[in-house]
Amino acid sequence: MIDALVRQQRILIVGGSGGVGKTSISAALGVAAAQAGYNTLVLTIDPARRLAAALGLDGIGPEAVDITPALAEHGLEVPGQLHAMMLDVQNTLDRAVERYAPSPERRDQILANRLYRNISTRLSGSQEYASMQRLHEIATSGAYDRIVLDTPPTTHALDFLTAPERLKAFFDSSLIKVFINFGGRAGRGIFRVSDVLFKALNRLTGANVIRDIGEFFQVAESILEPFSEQAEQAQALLRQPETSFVVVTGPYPHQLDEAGEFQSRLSAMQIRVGALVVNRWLAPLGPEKPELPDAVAASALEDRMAYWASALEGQAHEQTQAIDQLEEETDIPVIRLPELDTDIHSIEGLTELQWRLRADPHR
Amino acid sequence: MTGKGGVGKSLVSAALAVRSAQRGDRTLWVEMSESPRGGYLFEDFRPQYDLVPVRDQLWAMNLRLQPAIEEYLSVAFKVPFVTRLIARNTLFQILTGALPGLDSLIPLGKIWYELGRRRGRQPYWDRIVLDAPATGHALAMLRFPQAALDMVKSGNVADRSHEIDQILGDESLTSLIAVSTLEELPVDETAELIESVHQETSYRFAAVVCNSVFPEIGQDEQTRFDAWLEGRDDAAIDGRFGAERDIVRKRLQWLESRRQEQQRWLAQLGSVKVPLARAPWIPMAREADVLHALVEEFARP
Repeated sequence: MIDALVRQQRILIVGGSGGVGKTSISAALGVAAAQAGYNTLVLTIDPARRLAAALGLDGIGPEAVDITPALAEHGLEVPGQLHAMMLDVQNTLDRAVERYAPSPERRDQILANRLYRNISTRLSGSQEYASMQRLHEIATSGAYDRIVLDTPPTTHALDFLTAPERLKAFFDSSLIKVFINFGGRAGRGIFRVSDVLFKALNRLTGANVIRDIGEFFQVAESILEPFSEQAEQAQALLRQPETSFVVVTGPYPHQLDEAGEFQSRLSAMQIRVGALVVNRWLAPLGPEKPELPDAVAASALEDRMAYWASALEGQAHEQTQAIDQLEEETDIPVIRLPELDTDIHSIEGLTELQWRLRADPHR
Repeated sequence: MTGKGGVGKSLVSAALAVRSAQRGDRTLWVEMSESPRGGYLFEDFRPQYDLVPVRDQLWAMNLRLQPAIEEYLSVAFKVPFVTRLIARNTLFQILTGALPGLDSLIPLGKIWYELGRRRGRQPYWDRIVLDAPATGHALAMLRFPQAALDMVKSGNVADRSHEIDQILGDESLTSLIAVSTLEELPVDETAELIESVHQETSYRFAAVVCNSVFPEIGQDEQTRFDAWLEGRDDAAIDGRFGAERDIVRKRLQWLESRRQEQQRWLAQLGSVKVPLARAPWIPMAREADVLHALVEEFARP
């Protein structure tokens, strides 16, 4: 299943809620693509430290790092190449400003603005905007055969899809126009509303804050159009036939519900979903869900063992039932990844994860 | 209470609130979420902005930002159209960009109001449990009162910041609690949060609650348990499980290996020099059941 996906799609976007293992799955997909002979890039954001260290990404800037030699050192010779890159949100936004600013003065004005420095990486949607922007740059450069994008750890997976629109709406807002005018003419000549508004805001925050905002939007206006155009092009990339999402989820019923909803929203937006990966699934070892014995505190070792073995087996059956249900409700392939004994924090671990991902033990 | 997303912050804070109410204290449990968990945790309960009773001595509210801002502005300005203009627009997002943390000051202001309410000569609440935003946001929130006081010397924001600074800084009144699971990312993030808060503010964390801690099955017979897990025969254990023996062994090997990994992260978390508490892993799927079991755990002497 995964092998076919890697063969057919040039761009794989790994999405899902925070904490379900998106980064490990992205890296494992990258290894799988390199195994299949492709020159591959994994673009990630904020990986766990030990995973970053394993990939050679710790303390390195926003440049791609070739980790093919590291794979070989750990006994995994791949016919293709594997590169990893860490997304630097500020750097990506700064470069977009540099590219689209109409003049060097405007560029410097934006980059130096206190509000821009504070706001640009924190605005709702800016991480997602930056990763789409970066993906678009890399995809159009043609430097790689396969690109795996690990999406930002947003609390809600759907945020990723609406981010460019939210950012655009933010800049398109009619209130911004009031600010732009205010910054330009110190508030004169506009209708009374803005006078009252600015008085209120001054009372709330102090005058210099308002001045910063006015200046920021006045100069930001000059690059709004190319910014929005760029966002639209990047959005279009999501719908191209060469692109497919891989939705990662945890094995608990509420996580599966959320993943199912995410997948149907994607499909409704004509965005391809290649697979649903259920990570950290506790596979049942017996045929039936056992009765849970009464809770034990001070009982014998055998009793405690019986209790926890049944408890785990019970969990495994509940998870499996929920996954079966999801599989029934969707026509997207569901891949179950059983729990490993330890976290993934080495190339050996990634290699193991990659084999499991490709083997899909359920089938 | 704060913690990385997905570690069970809402669950643990709800369990503390239920336990507080069971002990007879008038308790308010406050969520601050656009996708609140309260509806999963309590049966027949729908989270909403207004105060609602959950059970005996326990009330809840979901302090969503938007209505909190509107309420605050309407009290502060008494001019409805300005209120709507500021609150209903992206403008507020811009303001929070200019003054990072403003979005948490306003909900905190609402808590400050609840703290000040009286019932006759008694305080209205004996305890307020705040299920605060996740770690990243929590830092901005805790930085805000002092940062705001540096930037803004007078006006509404300054007054409110001063009041909230007093409350957060008073350890006899307020406890900051972090919730973490014993895994790499949550432990790193928790340790970073505590370090930053302790360095940059005068507030101190009172405890870290480690959630989903796996059970220590071996206890005083750990050596015997380990030996059996490694494949040694043990007449009593083998007799007990009969044909299921290999399945049980595989299950418990996995659990023990996970538990030991957790213990290593626990040791790492020890470096934060904040008292650690434990909430056990509850082997149930429905969140209401998990909450019920966790409250029972907390009730144990």
